[in-house]
Amino acid sequence: MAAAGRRTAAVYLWGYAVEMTIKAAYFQVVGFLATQSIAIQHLSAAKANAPSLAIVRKGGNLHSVESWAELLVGMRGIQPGWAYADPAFAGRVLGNARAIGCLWTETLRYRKNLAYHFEVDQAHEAAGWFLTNMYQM
Amino acid sequence: MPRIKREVELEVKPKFSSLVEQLADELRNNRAYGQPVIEEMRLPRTDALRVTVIWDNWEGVPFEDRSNTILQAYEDVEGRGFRERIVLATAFTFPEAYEVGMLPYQVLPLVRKDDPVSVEKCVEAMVEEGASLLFAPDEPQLRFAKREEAEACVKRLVKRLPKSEPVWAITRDVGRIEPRALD
Repeated sequence: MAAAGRRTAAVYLWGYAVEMTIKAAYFQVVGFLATQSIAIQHLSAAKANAPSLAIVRKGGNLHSVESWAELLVGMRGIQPGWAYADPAFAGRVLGNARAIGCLWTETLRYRKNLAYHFEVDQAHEAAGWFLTNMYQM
Repeated sequence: MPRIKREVELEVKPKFSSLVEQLADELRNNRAYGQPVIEEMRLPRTDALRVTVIWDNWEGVPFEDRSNTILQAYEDVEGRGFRERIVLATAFTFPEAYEVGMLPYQVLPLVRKDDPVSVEKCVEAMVEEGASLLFAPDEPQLRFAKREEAEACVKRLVKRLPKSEPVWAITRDVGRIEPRALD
């Protein structure tokens, strides 16, 4: 898409892939099987858990990639044996989520603007990091 | 310039205190049948728990408030430490749980003219067993996650309605055709 000049669409798709990757990692941590359905009730239950992890969610809906990354890292942090072996990895999860969170919202698909090349590059880099490291998350 | 100090609100007080009380009573009583169905799943290697409460009383309650209600009820009954072990508290009404495929087994009364029990008596017994009236008010549905749960329910129904054994059938959903697939 990016190569074809659909730069905003490319950013949207990468952001969406990151959102799904982080959510999948979160639900894997809390014991979901890979084949198990995730309903809106599960997403809302995770959101309801945020205050107990001292996480202030950004936005009122269930799409903030930054908030989901914080939830994932926070949830891993509070359970014995769940924390990342390399503490710096948690920082990279949060940093890359922040990077794409600055460029992406779920409403991007309704926009008619054209993303700058540097924005496309940033979104590509952050999404690439998540897709490369998804099994460690 | 003004210096404003605020604190992050870590505790979310449940808005539905009567539901907290009802759920706390259910946790204390631990009944073998009826609503709500409370499932506690312990995660391997840790003491963490995932709790799911299927209950028609959630109808009309926002999803996040449902989770906070569950957490508060657990704290009231089991204490703060137990609440902190719960990593996900999820709530569904019976139709919602059915929609996401959590309740594939159904116990149905198949009453014939010469059977010793009436449809009305069967319906009454089903409601006592925790059948949901949210699918359709005049057609209660008894639904379960596992076959063993459905079989245990049939045993209890037969106890409630002696000689009703041939009436009860257990069915299992084998998937549904989604409307979108027909587009």
